[in-house]
Amino acid sequence: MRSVEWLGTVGLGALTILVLAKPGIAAATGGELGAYSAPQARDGGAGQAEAAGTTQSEIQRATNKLPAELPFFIAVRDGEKLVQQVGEWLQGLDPNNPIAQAMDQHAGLNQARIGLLGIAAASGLSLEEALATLVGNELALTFEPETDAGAARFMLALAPSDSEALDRMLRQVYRSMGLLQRGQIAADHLRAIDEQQVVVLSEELLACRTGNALFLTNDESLLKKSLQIHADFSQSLESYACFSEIAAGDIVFGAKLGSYKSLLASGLPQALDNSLASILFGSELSALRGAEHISLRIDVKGDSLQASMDIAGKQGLPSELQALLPVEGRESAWQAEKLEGYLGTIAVRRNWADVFAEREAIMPLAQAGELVNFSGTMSALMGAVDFIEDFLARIDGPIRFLAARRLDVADPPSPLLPAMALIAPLGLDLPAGLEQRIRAGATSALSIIGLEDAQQGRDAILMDIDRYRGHRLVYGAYPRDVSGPKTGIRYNFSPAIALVEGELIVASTIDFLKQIIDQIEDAQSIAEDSFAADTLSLQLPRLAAVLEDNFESLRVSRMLDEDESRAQAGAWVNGLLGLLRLGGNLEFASRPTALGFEWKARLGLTTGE
Amino acid sequence: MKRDWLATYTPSATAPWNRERAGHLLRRTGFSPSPQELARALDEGPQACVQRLVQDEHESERVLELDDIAPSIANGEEIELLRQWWCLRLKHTRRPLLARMALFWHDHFATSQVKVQDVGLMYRQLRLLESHALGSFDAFLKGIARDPAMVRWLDGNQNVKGRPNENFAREILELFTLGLGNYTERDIQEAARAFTGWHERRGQFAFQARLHDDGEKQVLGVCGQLDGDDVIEAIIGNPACSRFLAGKLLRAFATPDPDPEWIAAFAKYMQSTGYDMMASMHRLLASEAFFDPAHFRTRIKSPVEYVLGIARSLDLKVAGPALARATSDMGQRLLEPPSVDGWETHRGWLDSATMLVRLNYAKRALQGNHSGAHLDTLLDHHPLAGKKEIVRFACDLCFDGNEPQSLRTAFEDLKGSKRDMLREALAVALSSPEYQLA
Repeated sequence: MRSVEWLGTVGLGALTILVLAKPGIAAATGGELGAYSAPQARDGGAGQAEAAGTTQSEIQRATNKLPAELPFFIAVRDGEKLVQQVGEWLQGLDPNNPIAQAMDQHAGLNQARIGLLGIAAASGLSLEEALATLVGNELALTFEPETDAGAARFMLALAPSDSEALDRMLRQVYRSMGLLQRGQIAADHLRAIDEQQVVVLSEELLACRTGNALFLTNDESLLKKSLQIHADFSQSLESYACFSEIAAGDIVFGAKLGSYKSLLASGLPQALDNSLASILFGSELSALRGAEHISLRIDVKGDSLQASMDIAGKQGLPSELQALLPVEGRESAWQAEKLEGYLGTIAVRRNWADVFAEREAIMPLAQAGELVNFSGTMSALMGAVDFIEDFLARIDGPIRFLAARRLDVADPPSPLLPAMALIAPLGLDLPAGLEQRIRAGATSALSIIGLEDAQQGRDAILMDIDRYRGHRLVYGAYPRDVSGPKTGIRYNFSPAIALVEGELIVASTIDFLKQIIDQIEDAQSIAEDSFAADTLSLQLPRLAAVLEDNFESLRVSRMLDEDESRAQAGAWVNGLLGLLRLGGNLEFASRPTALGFEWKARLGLTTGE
Repeated sequence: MKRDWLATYTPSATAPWNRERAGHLLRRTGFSPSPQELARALDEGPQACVQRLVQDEHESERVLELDDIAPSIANGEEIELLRQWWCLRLKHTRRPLLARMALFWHDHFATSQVKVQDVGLMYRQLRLLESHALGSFDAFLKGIARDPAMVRWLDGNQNVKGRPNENFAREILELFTLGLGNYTERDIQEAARAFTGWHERRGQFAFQARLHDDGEKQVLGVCGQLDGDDVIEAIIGNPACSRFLAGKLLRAFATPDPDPEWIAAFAKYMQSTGYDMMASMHRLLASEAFFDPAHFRTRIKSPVEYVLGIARSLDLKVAGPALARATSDMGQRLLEPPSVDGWETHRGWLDSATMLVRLNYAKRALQGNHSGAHLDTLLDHHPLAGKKEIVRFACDLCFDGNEPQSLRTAFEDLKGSKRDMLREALAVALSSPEYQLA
C-alpha cells in the first residue's frame, strides 16, 4: 500500500506540477481532455503519424510535435520505466527519514495523490499504470515566461504509450468535471482549428487529442503550428542546436536564450569580487554571460541520478581568460577515499603561473593586488625563494582540498569541524634548498599566528617539529585551557605542514597529516596523468554525520538567522540531514568545451536509513 | 505652589488614561507597542500597567529558548552572534522595561568587545547588567567593579600597588556615579589605590592580595585602609551620586531636558529607598509628571528602539543578523559602544546618513516574503475596508491615533490593492519624522 501511495506522489511528475497542483486548472484540464472522443479525430486514431515517411520511433516522441518557437523546453521519457525506478526507490525509503515524513504529510502532494487515485481507479488502471500513462512514451513542454511584451505561453505534448488508457483517463476527468452531455463533449466547449477538433477548457486553455498525441496550450497559434508540423521536424524542438546532445536522456531541459541572454547576463556579476572564486569559477561565469544555449540531461538509474549540463555561446573563452582552463597533470598515486572518515575532495587543475600572470584579466584590480601581496608575503616567509617561479610554476597536477570527519576526538570542541588538508603536488625533483625554505616559511607563518594570539591576550599557539615515517612535520598546537572548559574553533585544530613524496601538505590537524602520510607511504598504485577538469567528490552520508556532530551549532545558527523556535530550527536541521542521507556519493566535474563548458554530475541514491 | 514632581498620576477628565498616555508609557518603558500591548495597557489602567512593567513577568518561551543556547554562543568567538542573540531576545521579551534598563546600563557602564576580546566575558557582563538592572545600585556597582569584562576594559590588571592605574577610579567617579565637579584629582588617585589588585585571571575576578595597596587612604572625605568596596560605600553616601543617577534616568526615560527640581526630587526619593532601582522606577513611571503631555514624543528613538519597535509592533519575523546589522548601521553597534562615555544619545542618533538608513530600513522591513505574508495576516485580523481605515490603522499603530498633518498628502496618494496601500501607509508612517520620536 505504501508503495502505491508514494508512486501516487511522485508519478504525478511534470504533468502534475503543471496541472494538478492548481486544483481548479486540474479539474478543467482533465475534464476537457477526458471528453475527447477518439473516433471524431481527423486521423481516426492514426492521425498525424500517418504523414509519409514517419517512423514508429518518431511517432513515439513528443518533442518533434512541438514548435521551436518558445525559448525553453522540458521533456520526460518512458513513463513506465521512470515510474518503476522511482517507485522502487520510494518503496525502500526509510519511513523515519524526515524527508519521507514531510512528503507523507505534505497537503498538496496528498491532494494530488488522492485525485489521481480516483481517476486511475475509475479508468480501470492501477496507480502505477496511470502515472506511466501520464508520462507516456514522452511528455514534452515548451514555454516562455511572462515578459513585458506579453503573457506567459506554454504548449504541452504527450506521446502516449497506451492511447486507450489515456483516453479512459481523460474521459474520467471530463466526467468528474461534469462537462459530458449524453456521453459527448458539450458543443459550446468544442471548436475546430486547422480542421482538428479542439476542446476549449477555459478562456485561456485549449486541448487537442490527435491520434498519436495529446496537446494542451494557452496559445492558439502554438497549437496551429503543432498541428502543422507533422513530420517536418526541422520546425520542431528537435531543431534546437543542443537537442542531439540530450536526445537520449530520461529527463531533458533545453533553452535557447535569445532575448533572455541579456537578462541572464544582467543578473550575473561582471566579475567575481573574490580572488579564489574568480580562479575557480571565472571561466564558468564568462561562459554563462555569453551563453546562447543551455541544455540539461538527467538519466534516472536504479541507484543513481546522472546529470550533464552544457552551456554554450557563440565563441569560446576569451584568450586573456585561457589561464582559467583546467590543465592536465600528474595524478597522485594514493587514494584519499581510504582516509578514515573521508568526506570529500575538491580538485582544481590550473597552470598556476599563468593564472598569476593573467591575474588582472581574471579578477578585479584590488583582488589582483591582494594576490601580489600574498605572493610577496609567501616569498618573504620562505626567504630567498620566488613564490611564483620556484613554487607556483612547479605545481604539476591538481591542487586538492580534502576533508574528513573527525573521529575519536576526546572532549570534542564545538563546533567540531572536519579535518581538512590542502595538497599541492610539487614533484620529486625539487631544487636544492626548496624543501628547507618551505619548512622555514611554515615555521614563520605559525610564529605569526602565535604573535597575533599573544597580542590579543589569548593562549598562544605553540610550535614544534616532529618526525613521522621519516618525514619532518612542522606543526602548532594550542594548550588546553586548564582553568575551565574552553571550546571554540581555535582549540579545534593544530595546523601541520609536511613535504612528502613531492606533495606539499598543509593539514588542519597533525593527526590528519599523519593519516595522509600513511596513505602516501602505503600506496600500491603508480601516478597517472590526470584529465583536464575541476572535480568534486563528496560522500553525502558522511557529510550528514559531520552536520550531526554539529547539530547544536547548526540549530543555534538557524534560530538566530531565521528567528525560529528551537523546535522549528531542529526540524530544519533534521530535514537537511534526512535529505543528505537520501544521497550516496556525489561526483561532479566541470570541464571546458569549444564554446563554453560542461558540468557532469552523478548522485548515488540511498533509501535514507 | 511648589510642584510635587513625584505625585501619583490619577486619570481625570483633563488627563484621561487614553491611547496617547498608554502609548507614551509603553514606548518609554519598552518599544513601540503592538495593538495588543496597547489594548492590554488601556484595559489595565496606569497603576496596574506600571506595576506589571516594573515587576517580574514570566518570560516568553522564545526568550527561554534563547537563554538555553546562550552558553554555546558565549563559548564561541563571534561577538556578532551574541549581538544577534541579544537583538532577538529584545524582540521576544515579555519584560520590556527590564530589557530597556539593561540597554540603559550597557550605555552607562559602556564596555566594548573591541578591547575586551572575549565573547564569554561580554555575555557575562550583559547578564550582570540585567540581573541588577532593577535591583540595588550599591550591589550593582560592587558587581561591576568585579566584572572581568570591566576589569579588562579599564585596565584593572595594570592597577598594582606602587603603580596604580587610574582608569577605573576615574570612570567610576566621573561617568558611573558622581559626574565632573563632584570629586578631586586626589580622590581619583586614592580610589585607584583602593582598587589595586582587583584583577581578572582567565575570565574570573581575582583579588591579588600581594598587589593590593592596603595603606591609609582618603576618598571623598572618608579615611582608613580603604579597599574598593569602601570606596563604593563612600560614593553611594555622597548626595551627588543620587543627583547624577536621577538626572541620567530622567533624561533616558522621561524627558531629554528635565527640570532641576524634578531631578532633585527624584534623587531624594532614590536615596530614601537605598538606591532601589525597582522602587525608584516605579515611582517615576507612575507619576503625574511622567504623564505630562509636554514630554510626549520629545526623545529621539535610539536605533535599537526604532528597529525593535518596528519588529515588535508589527510582529514581523526579522532574522537576528538583519536586526543586528540595522542597529549597527544606524549607529548603535551593541556590545561595541564608541567609548567609555557610551553613545551620544537623543540628537546624537540622527544625522543625514543615519536618517537615510532608517528610511531604507522602514521600506525594506515591509518588503520580502515574510513581510508580505504578514501584511496579509494583518489584513485578516484587522478587516480594513478601504484607504480611510488603512490610514487609521497606521496612525493608531504609529501615532497613538493622531494623523500627523505632514503625512496627509502622502496618505491621500495611496493607491493599489489593500495590501499595497497598507504597505505604503506603514512605510510612510515608519519613515516619518514623528515616528523617530518616543
